[in-house]
Amino acid sequence: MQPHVPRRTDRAGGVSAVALEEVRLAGRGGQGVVTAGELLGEAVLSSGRHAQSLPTFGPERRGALAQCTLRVSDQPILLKCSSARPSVVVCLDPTIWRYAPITLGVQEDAVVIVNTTQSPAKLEEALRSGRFLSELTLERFTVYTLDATGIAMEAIGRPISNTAMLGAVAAATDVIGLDDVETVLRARFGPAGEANVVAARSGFDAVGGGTI
Amino acid sequence: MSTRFWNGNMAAARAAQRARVQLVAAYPITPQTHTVEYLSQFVADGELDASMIKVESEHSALSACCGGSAVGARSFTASCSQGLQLMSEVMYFASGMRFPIVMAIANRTLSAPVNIWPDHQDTLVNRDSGWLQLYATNVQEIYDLTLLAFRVAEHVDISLPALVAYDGFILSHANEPVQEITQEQADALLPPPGVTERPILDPAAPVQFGEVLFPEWYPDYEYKKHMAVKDALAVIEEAFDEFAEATGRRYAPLEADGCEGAEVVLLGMGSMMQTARMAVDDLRAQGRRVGLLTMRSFRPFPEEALKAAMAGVDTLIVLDRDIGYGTAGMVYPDVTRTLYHADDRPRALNCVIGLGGKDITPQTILRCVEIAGEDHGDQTVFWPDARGPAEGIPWTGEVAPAGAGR
Amino acid sequence: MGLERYEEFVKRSKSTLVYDPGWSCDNLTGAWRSMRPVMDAGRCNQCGLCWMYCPEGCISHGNIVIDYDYCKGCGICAVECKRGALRMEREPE
Repeated sequence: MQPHVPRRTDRAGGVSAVALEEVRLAGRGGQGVVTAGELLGEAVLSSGRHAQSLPTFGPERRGALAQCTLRVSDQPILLKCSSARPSVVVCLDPTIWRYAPITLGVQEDAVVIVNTTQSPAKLEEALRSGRFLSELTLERFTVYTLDATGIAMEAIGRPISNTAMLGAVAAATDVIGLDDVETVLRARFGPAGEANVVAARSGFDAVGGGTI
Repeated sequence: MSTRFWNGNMAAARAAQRARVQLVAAYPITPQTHTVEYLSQFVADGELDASMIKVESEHSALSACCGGSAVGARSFTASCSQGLQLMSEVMYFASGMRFPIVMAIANRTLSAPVNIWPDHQDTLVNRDSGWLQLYATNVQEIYDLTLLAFRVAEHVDISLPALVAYDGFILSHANEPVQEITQEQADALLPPPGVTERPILDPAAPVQFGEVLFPEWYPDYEYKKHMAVKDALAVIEEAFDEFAEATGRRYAPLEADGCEGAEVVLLGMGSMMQTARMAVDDLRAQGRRVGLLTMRSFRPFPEEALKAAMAGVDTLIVLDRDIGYGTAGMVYPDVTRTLYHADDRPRALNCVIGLGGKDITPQTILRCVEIAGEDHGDQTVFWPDARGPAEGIPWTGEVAPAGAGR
Repeated sequence: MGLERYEEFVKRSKSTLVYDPGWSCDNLTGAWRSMRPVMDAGRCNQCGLCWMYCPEGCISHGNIVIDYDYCKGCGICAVECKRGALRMEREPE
């Protein structure tokens, strides 16, 4: 299927001067949420645009909610607040969306990518149901799902889902291309980069199941 | 010159590396911890030739830096919040002995209640410690100002410690593009490390530090320290000029933008000034005349630049990310004192915002601007983002809801 | 929680520092797991190594039982078990 291209609209909390795209990454401490934000930012930067990755977390502990906002713009990014109106939400953990409101402020036409073994239709139903802390009342959004933990176990041997999810971001959005993801993975992880590149490619291939 | 994607703590650590610091002693505290971890890594990897001194507290960290500075070593530390308060006693020693130590501060508020998020309370309560205080608005500035802090602190006319403050998490943990300075550029901007005209502990020419000074002479000594802080302004301006020539990035102790004849001017420090820029751009697009005063140097205090920026200004709003309990924010009194005798004196209001990391969004800034146009009688201090006063709710003694502390 | 008796103090002192204390009866940290330890009772000889090494106190001694409400899935028990009686499996969603 065709990769979904999110609308590039004016954001930055209602201030309209600069077009800004925001991507929210969410997961649990230890899954590489902050690293994923950094890697995405580096990839964006190397593609000639401006990037800012801003983690929002409390006293750090493995397993608790961790979030990171990636901001992308053609202009230098002035916004220095953790509130965001993301057009893309990437959930690295199969369950945390139930317990934490990771969809706050999400824009119409959003892309939601979740690491889960469930189908996109089932996830969309759950997000619309209002039974969980993450709730979407938007008219239009697209859900992609992939078993990133399974991909990571196979490719890396550890349940660290972030690099598989980066591949999925490359497939489902125009934030970044797979080539750029591969380049930053090799640069960041050295010899371990190849296994992560395999995970990213598998993640890229896995998001064929959007609900549109 | 290459562009890096660094977080604020990395920018501070890389600046210290470029400055060829010779001694690093610091104690970890969130959100500053990375800074010292990175420097430790640089030393271990052979990228930095410095002594890393392991210490058991912040008090010891700054004491070790004082020792290093006493023998002429370029010394660096980092801290914030309660850690900075534990250092506080030694801060007065460092400035009194005129040790040009540089410290990076990832601003974090003071407990209790326990809170690890940013405001300027921790650095501003050390306002009168004799340290120069610079505030960065983005990650690039953390890098640039930290490097320049060494130059200003070590200047022979000044010889005072300097701290570079940047908002915890919002800047310390945010990755942003940073233009790297080459080692050659850094070496041209700073004197060689360890080469100094100030007295140092040297067996060949023995001197004593921290001696008793009796009342007869004490005011003279304090006056010299006072004048050194004042004189640092010209040294900072000179450093900014030379830096702009070398890198193309121009800073000012007080950067004025669109202030002349403005209906409202916003003055503040730190990351909120970049967010404010977005809000102000939006207001200008609607035809409003709104100016912006970004203060990068709080000590020395840029008095003349402040007065000069007030021509035709109707209302000045001082944004304080801090509170002097029972009075106003802590930047506001310096501003009003400076303007009290000015010929062209605007109405000056104070907005206390963003305490303990409360998110400062463009809407927060727009709300502050709105206050200027409203009738609040003779009220001058406002809390636009605190729930009770912002909504006009009198104190009810409300108990925080169950789970609010989690 | 009987916090009503502090209401007058909170009102007069302008204090907001009265909290219903947080407790782990509400916060089941087992939700954090990506992997869960699964026991093969046939291999277990009740030696108690897993009980001793569990950093969360989630394994009972005597008759080895894992408390999945609080086990965070760190996998230390599976590494320490000398008889291969504990295996880490994907956490079902």
